Amino acid sequence: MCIAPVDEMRKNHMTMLLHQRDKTVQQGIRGQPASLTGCIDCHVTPDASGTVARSDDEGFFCTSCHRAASVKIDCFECHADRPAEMISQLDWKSLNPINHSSLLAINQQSFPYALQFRLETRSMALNQ
Amino acid sequence: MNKIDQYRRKFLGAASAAFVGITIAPGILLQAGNAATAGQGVSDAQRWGLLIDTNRCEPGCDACVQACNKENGLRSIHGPKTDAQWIRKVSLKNRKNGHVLNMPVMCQHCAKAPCVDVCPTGASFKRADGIVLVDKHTCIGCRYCMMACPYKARSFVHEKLTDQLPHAPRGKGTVESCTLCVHKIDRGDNTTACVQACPHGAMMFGDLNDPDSAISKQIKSLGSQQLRKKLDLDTGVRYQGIPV
Repeated sequence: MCIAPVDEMRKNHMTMLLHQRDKTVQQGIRGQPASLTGCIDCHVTPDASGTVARSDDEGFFCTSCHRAASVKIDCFECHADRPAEMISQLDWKSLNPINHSSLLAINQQSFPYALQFRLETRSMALNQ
Repeated sequence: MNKIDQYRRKFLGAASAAFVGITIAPGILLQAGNAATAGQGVSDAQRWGLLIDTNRCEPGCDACVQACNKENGLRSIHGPKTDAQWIRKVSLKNRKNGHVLNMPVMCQHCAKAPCVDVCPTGASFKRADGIVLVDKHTCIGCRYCMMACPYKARSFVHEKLTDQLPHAPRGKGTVESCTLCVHKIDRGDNTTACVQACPHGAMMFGDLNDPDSAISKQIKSLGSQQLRKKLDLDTGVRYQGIPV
């Protein structure tokens, strides 16, 4: 069951999401009926072969209507277009994790407050 | 008083009256409740913070950084110069006596955050419970906050991203930083990924406003320092074992 009748969802889903979005981010109100994650959890389901449509695909739940209505949204440039379980199945290590040792070197060279630190304590310096 | 002055006075009076009305309204909302999960907003009854013991932090260990990357889905795209970093491991050496300090440095969640002051759109904001966040819906990617931050805590997303996690939306053209694992706090985990991952017990998470919390008791007994205390930012991330 959706959070409201189909007619109302078709007409007002964007208002519901916009309203809830600010409450969630700025006031930390979570677990409310209108939530993008909630939409995705129900409306993005794997087909018989176990694959799901991605946000750019014609078969994606949001895109199928938005294409027809000529609406361009950018929700999925940041938000996940699949339920959490499908993403957690991805191998995190294989997705090119950040190379920590090279970052360490860069941090040591360019960390700005190290200089401030030295100025403030008069005895501290970067360990190079 | 000439006519122009009279007009100015009238205008300023009306403008300030309108301003008072606006500021009262969100204030009431913020006081509305303190349970994030009960449909009410977070309140300033809590002030979430971290306590980091630099004497326990080991050189070369990056468990907190890896845990943060995994929890929030941070990945390398075009190499270290543009990769997002929410936690940096930093070591500092005292040249006089050779003592080396190791510590993770992330967003310090300042009570008086410079990034919030400079943001032209209000995207960089401080939540009532002290967590400093970026509302990426309104962030225009100007990066003023990155320049204002005295801790180099913020990163800019340069590339189009894929496979973001549902609880950690991230996108090209916005600035991001440590969220103090706000999604975990809001669901009541009462900890952060880095604190959970630290194998040396060097990090502690808790409510700085609650005198009975473990973090407050630890600070009460051993004291704590702020990085760059002279800036008077009242940071939520505190350190032990750094020179005062």
